[in-house]
Amino acid sequence: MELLATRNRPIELAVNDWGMLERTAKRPDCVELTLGPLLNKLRQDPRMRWKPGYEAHRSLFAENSLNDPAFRDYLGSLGIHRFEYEACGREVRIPEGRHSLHLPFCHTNVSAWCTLKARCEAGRRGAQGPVDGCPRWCRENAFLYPRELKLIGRGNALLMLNRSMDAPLPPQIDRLVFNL
Amino acid sequence: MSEMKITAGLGALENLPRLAAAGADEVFCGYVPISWLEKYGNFTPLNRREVLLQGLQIDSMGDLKLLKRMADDCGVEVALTFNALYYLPEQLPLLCELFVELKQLGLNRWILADPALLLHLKRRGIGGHIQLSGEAGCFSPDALAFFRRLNIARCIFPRKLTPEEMAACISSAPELEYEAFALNENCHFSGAHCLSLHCDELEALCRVPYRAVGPDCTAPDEPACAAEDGFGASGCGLCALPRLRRAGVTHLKVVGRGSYIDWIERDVRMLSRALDMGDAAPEELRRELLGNRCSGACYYPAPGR
Repeated sequence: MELLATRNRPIELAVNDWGMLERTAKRPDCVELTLGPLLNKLRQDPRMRWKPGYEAHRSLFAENSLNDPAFRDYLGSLGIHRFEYEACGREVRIPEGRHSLHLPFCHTNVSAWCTLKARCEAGRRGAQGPVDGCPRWCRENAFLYPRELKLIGRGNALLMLNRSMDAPLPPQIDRLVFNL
Repeated sequence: MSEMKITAGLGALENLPRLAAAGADEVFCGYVPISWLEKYGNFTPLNRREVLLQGLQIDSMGDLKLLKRMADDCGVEVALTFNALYYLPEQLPLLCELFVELKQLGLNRWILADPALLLHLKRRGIGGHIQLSGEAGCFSPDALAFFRRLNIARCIFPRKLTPEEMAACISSAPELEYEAFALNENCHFSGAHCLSLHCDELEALCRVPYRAVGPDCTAPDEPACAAEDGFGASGCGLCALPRLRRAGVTHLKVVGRGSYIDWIERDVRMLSRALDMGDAAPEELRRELLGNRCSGACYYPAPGR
């Protein structure tokens, strides 16, 4: 925070962990917080369309806690007004305000320890442990999935690819973030 | 230093006496009323066992009353899981009303993960013994400080946190209770960041077969589904019990609400025996309890591994 204060220019910090939100409670005025995609939780799965009843109940997948005014007010009191969404292949009701949309990839699963490191070093994706130094296995290794899922495993995450937008961009989205 | 207690997953009422006799001090289970299913199905599940066909949820107030009486007779505590990562705005007041009813039954221990739900309970003055689910993703003392403002009584550490990292959290707020995973279902990914479906129709995404590619992925691909029938086959923290004890963990979780009762009863018994061995070295634990048959599915790899 001290370093950021010396920059004396507007800086946006995406918070992807509740601990980071706490850590940035005392921050210089030039730092603005946004709620990162990892804290903006929505059901994200490339197989959604195959779930029986999905089409009839799509509305149940369109909202999350951020659509609750009380929770938005609470986040606002903590300095968060902008939320980062990920394009997930269906329409999502974005609350009022100004928010960002990340595309074309969205997270479906993330591990706090590295799945790819475990696979490369121990031969098993489940043989994970705390990471101390990273030789960047993800530069040349990955987990591949059946083509129809449009899913890839990179590093500690599974990422789903959305090639198209299911609905026009709502006016609340004033920024696109290309997460290639 | 008081001894750690065992909390075990309960999938059916009739299994409670067996778990209590095996050594469980607490059980946790899901409550999903029929009214919720009629309105929301398993499209917005009440807890992380997002299934309809496995019959592992309590589904009526009558059974909840029976559960409370059985638990009191057996001398165990009961916690109910409402640990979905998020709920719809319209569901939050419904849940608050439900918690008021549960309190009237004496069932005031709830495992929660959604910060919005925690906020609503706080603002409505609905107190209870709130246990922060591992699905909330409390990875650090700073995160713990954030959730402490939402009236939690216990923090269930997420998977993929070392006992030493837990110790740092515990020392920042020693007045709380702390629970750590001890046996079973050591997922490849963190629950707090698992957004995939886990329903009857579709297996969890982490179990979908994959192919590892690249110059460093030379070992043969493993099955996506780990074997689950051997003791600790899907996750074991037995060797780390001394480290967890030193860290200040107060409760140990035996996962398995959907598991066979014979298996989870065995797991509770083994964990209870391990606790009776005090600060035995990992080698002694493996020799005495496992006959030197280690699953290798370590929840808490030894430092330096």
